[in-house]
Amino acid sequence: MKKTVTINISGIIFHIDEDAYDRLNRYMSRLKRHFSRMEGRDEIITDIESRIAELLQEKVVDNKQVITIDDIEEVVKLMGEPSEMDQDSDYEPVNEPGPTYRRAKRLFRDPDTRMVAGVSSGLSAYFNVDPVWIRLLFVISLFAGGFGVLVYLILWIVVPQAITTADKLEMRGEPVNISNIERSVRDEFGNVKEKFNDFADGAKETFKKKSPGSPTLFDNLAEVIGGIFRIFLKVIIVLIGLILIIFGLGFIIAFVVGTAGLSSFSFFEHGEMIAFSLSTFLDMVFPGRVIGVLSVVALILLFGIPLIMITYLGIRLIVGNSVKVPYIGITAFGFWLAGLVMAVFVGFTTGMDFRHSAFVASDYDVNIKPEKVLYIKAQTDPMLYNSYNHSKTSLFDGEWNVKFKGDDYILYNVPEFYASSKTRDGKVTLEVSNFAKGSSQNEAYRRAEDLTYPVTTNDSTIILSTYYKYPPNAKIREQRVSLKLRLPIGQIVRFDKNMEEFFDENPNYQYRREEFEGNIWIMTESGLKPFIKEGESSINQLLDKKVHSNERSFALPLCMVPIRIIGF
Amino acid sequence: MCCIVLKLYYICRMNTDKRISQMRKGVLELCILTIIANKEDAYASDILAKLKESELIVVEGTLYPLLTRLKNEGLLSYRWEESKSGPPRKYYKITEIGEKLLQELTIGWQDLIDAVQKITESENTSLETTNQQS
Repeated sequence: MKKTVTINISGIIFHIDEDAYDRLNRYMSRLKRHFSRMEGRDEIITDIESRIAELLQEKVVDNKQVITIDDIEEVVKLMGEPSEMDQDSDYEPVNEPGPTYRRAKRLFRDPDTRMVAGVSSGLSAYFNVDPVWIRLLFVISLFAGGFGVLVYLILWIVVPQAITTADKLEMRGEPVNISNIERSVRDEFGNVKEKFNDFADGAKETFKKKSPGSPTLFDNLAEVIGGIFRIFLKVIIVLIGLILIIFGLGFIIAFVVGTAGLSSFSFFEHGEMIAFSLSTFLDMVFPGRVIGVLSVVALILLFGIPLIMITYLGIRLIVGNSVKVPYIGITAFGFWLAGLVMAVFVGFTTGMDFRHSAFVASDYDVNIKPEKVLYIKAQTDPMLYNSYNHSKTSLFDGEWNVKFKGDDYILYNVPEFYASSKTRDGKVTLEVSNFAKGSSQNEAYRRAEDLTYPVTTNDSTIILSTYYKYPPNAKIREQRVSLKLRLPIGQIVRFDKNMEEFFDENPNYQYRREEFEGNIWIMTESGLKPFIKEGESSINQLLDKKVHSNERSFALPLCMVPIRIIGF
Repeated sequence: MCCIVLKLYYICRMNTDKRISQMRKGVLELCILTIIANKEDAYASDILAKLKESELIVVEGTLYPLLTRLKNEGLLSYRWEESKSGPPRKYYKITEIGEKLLQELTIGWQDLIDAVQKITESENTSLETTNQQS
């Protein structure tokens, strides 16, 4: 059972199913909108209507009185969609500046004014700017990491060339700009106004006639509300589109600038040119050149493609279907998936290098006589400083220091320092342990062994190095060197003034800024404490010190008062 | 790679369609005027039937904007006639100006056919059979 409506087309009465009526109504309003800018619009619509009436009349026979949706579909197919009607009969646009029919603009490559493939001239026609500026942008991009070349190649492949005259007209069509968006909103508004008038008329009639069955009032009310809703929707969609474009382009630019910055990072430091290139970074982190390059490609695909698609979506939302690029979704997804596969592969192969870990430990005993002061000094490999200056280059927020020599680099870092009161047989011992990771136990072991950290000892002195060194061009695989100085309780230590760098940059934060260097300390049960000589130890001095560094607890160690020091 | 090939195919196909439809566009006016002139009195369904017979148009909707334009340019006139079985019909008739234009168009078309034939004949002898038919 279906509800039917009675309609009048060109003076003929039809009984028509409600869904069929809806379909026909939508078709007619599409036609009206399509021909709205054409001369003689009403006449065309009337002619088409009477033809539809004729066709529908053929459908009505004695045992089938009602027009169904299938009939309407057939008629619509026969008459054709509004867009199909243009293809065969391209009516001339009226020359006067009044209501001309306008085509939406499409992006083409312009073969007439091209320099290479016509991408720039096509873009300039599309955005209505002089092609010189766009060419200039592409040329400038050559110096900023060459990103523009990639964009140019993609556009060359994706954007079709304007071949026919129609293509060229379409290419130069109306500029896509804010006023256009405004116009489309205004068109929609005009429609609603018309509907509102219809609705008002309908309301008048309904109240006059008081015919209870007539659906026009509520139908029209629904249409008016729907129209107003559509305007809001359109404005919101345009806003969302703008936000997406700003978001997508912003991140793309940030990404490009970031990558370009990383790929050729060079700076002057104390008159020395230091170049830290992307390839050096890749060598430090990834197991091989190929993997390194793959990681960059994967990164570009994984982040670049969603951003490009976001921007594209934004443009589509604002401009509509006129910039539709065929197969873009599936292509983008394919590339993104390839990026994902590459990233997984890179992650896996690199992760393999972290599977095993190994320690290499070496102990240095100091046979110091009891009650003698232990002297600790630091020494720095002169190679790490050049003759010019005493500066070094820090990497990754100071986590590593690096020395470049041509294309080679040497990483070096300060070892972790601990002091402990647990000793073996009351002896002074320095334990050095190297740690590293690798894809096999052997590799990890070799890597740990390759770290160089020279220590010299004699009967009262330990000479440490400020830095441990990686072998040249080594990969970063969690290498570290830690020192544990075991001192018996009561042992007095003097750290040399030149250990400032060692303590200031020590990975063990507890020992930073404690003023070890140049001062005398004593091992107590609760760790190293500052040692104050007998004569100096006035309460005031102690209080002063306490004020200066209140995080240090100053339980005066019992053992520190009466010890007689030799050599002070 | 596959996508690029598909894309190229797509472009080629689109352009062939466009070209053919552009060629059609040019002669559609001439055909409509000829049909109306020959029939003395023609209404839309008659014209449609003829055009569809020779596969000159795909959808019927194409005709109406064209007829309206020709009428507005003064090439056609029409009169209403009541129909027993349906809505009143518009019978189109060609005007004097239309007649003149039709003559010029026909001559122009004949010249065009000759010119095209000359070129295609000398360029391509295998087309001879097609020419004889026409």
